[in-house]
Amino acid sequence: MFSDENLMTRFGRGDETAFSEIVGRHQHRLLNFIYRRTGSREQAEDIVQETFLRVVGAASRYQATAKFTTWLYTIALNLWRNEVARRRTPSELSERDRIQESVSLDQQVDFKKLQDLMHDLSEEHRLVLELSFIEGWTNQQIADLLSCSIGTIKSRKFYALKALRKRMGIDDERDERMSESTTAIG
Amino acid sequence: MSETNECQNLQQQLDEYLSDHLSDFAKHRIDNHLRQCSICAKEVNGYKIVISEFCSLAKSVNIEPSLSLEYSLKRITQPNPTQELFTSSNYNVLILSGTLLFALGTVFGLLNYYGAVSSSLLISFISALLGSVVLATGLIQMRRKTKSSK
Repeated sequence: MFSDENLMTRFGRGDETAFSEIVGRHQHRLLNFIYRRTGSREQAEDIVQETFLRVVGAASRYQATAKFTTWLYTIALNLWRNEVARRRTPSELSERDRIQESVSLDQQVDFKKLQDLMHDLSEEHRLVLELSFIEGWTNQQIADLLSCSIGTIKSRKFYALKALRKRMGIDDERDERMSESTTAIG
Repeated sequence: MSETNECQNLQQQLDEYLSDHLSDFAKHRIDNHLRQCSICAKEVNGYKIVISEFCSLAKSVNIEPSLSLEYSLKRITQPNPTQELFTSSNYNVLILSGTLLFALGTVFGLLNYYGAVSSSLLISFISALLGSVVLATGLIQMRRKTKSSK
């Protein structure tokens, strides 16, 4: 099986079947990655379409210096961030809360549950969790995407996991012991 | 129970252990420790529950690409068949033939009007009209093509 980077190089040389294969590999995962941020099928599909359009536009200049997925998700994330910045007016933000007719009720409930679970987390913490445990990325890949160090990624990951533990009501005996000993010393 | 070297080893490799990025040997060492240390076992188990809950919820938020998205993505690299008719050489032909038809129609119309030739005025008029339509189509397509290539 050809790697994504290999397929992109082939596509840059004019092999359009290579692009079809790239789309087939990534469209579903990318769509859900963006959908988990927007909660809107329409917005997510627009962003996915625009992402692949940009990939096509940059294909001839593509150089396999980083993993293709990192580049693909960087484009999609930037498009989504631009969209958030553009829509940052009260009337348009409420659009997100509207019932999405094109998504089933079960999906809307699951989306709401996920939002509730991650309520206390910033977007950066959510991204680290999702990329690590849903997309299966390495810390290095996530660090490349978010332009920070591996140490920062690790610390964000554990901060996020601890926040979820707390929200789910799971005790952390080690942390409790540490805080008890700190109090005793103090 | 006090912290041992094995507890510290677990703390150092907890991220890799939870992400399943450890070698078999390193994983086996941690698994052995977890069987002996209830505090570490409880901690790791807590994280495993959190990750499992999070993954199962996040994966349940799953939509399939709509047909319209799939269609659009397929079309990204395929040229529009109607646009394909108007490649640069095609619209050049349209412009050239339109100009010729228009010129011929006008010249014959004028000659006919002044009695120099005896042909139908209607044919000259239709030729000039058709020429202007073809010319206009060619110019419009050329403009579109120039815009889309920018």
